Amino acid sequence: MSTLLILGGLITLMGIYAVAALALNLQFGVGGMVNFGVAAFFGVGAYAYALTVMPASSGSYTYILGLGLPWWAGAIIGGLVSALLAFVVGSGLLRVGGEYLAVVSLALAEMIRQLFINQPAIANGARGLLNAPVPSLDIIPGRAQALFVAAAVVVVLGISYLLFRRVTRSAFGRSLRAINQNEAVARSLGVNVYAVKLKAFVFAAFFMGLAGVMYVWYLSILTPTFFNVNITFTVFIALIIGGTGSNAGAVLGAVVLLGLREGLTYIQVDFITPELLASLQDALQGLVLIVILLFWPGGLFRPRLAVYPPPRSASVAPAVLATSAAGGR
Amino acid sequence: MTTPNPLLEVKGVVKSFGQLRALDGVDMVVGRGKVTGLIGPNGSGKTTLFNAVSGFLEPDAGTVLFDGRVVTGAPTHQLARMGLKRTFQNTADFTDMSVVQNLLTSVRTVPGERLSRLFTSPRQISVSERSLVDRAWILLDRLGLTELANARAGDLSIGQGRLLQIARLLMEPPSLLMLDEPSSGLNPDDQHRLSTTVRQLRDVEGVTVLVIEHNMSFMNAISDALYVMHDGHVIASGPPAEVIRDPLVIETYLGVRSATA
Repeated sequence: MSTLLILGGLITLMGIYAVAALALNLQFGVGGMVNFGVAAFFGVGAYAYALTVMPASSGSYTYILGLGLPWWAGAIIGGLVSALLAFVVGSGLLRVGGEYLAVVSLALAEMIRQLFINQPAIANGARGLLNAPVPSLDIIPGRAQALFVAAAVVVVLGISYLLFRRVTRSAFGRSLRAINQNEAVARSLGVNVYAVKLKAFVFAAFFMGLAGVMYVWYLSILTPTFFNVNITFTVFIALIIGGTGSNAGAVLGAVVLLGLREGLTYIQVDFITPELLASLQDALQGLVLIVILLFWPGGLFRPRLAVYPPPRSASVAPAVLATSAAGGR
Repeated sequence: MTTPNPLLEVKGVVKSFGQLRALDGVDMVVGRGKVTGLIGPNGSGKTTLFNAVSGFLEPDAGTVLFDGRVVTGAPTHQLARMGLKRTFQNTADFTDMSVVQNLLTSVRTVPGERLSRLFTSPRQISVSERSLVDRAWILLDRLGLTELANARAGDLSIGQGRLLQIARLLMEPPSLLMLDEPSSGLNPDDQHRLSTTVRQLRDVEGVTVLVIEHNMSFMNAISDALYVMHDGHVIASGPPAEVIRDPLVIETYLGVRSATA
């Protein structure tokens, strides 16, 4: 049973980062938007969830809202609040050069974190929120609830993957990729660069918020220290390891990276203290990134170009073949 | 030269970069359904004029009228949707996409372009995708690129890349097609194929073409009217046969007098 619970926890963590990496893949991998504020969207989603599903605050333990909503409603709200933040950030910054987005989003994440720390009235400040409700079923015995959470995360990941695949393979995804490869040319073909980027940015941010929500499901507690800049870098590294621009790569990268990080915690050696372990995890993450960039610069998963067959209709196909044979180089 | 109801009219357009007046009051009229050529020595302002017309540069002064409407300084993507499309002198392919995918990027009127409809009308989208791919293959056939359909665009030669740029614009034929040195880098076969395509566009689909070109035999083969630019001015315009005999043109562009002096 305990092995199963450990495995459930690992799968939950992998799923959370995989959803965030899928979202970053649409923004950065496909659209070329450098969002160093992943932690902000993650954190805002997490707090929006916790504050809407927790009961009203009482006594010295202060926080706003406390609406006591069901977990699934809180999860949707978490995603929407994150998307709203993306709309505000993106509508200003996606009009100007990409470097502005990178710098401002990085600063924004830290500003929001400091806001939660320094304004205890919002969500109990640095001490954070305890015992946030997580998805559960009454028929499942106490300790196995974690497995229900793992299953819920896997379902969210599965749905997210299908949605992102749909977007990246569509005409919309093509326009976004075109913008990333040559913005001026995309514009000359009639692509409304700003609108396409903003839609993709906001759509992806919904899922970053959802990843934050699932982080609360995993821990059931939430403090501002959880969503520091390390989350941003872990998601970026997962995407780069897996294969920037590829949805499957984003998922694979998160699975590999989190597998390695968490795998370290099961090494039973006396001299590894918790502090040393945390450093080792970060060092391992950097090492994996270096190795991947050296030997597989495009990431573990490099999709091949989609092949489009010639028209099936008999009237066109022979003509096509005849001309290409005649004009063959 | 009077042209009734022109598709594109450029009136007194000025564009300066610091001290340099790249366009110094350019007037130009592009007749509907005609192929209009634009020639001039390097640095005479041809591409700057293209940029000013297609929304890449905002003119300092002057007016651009497209289809009777003032479009001076309008955003490029809006002009493209109105039917004014251009190619670029440098290769402008989306290099990490296949040739077919490059063609598919240029169609704006498909349901799959709208994020919200991706999840509400999947069937409609797959039907429209299929018909787009079919259209792409037909265009590639027309320009002799079928063998490269599924190749990475970045692996194409410069000439093939130029043909790809044109094929891409023809996915949704514009009313005004602006070509910036389309024949450079093309072998004679491809040049012939290109001039045939341009003439077909004009004669069959009624597309108006404005073309910058250095290759005079190519230009003679396709153009109905010719403009000559020098130092940001239009120095001559009219039927090609007349313009290339104009003494001023011969002096400034072909440099014959200075060569014999």
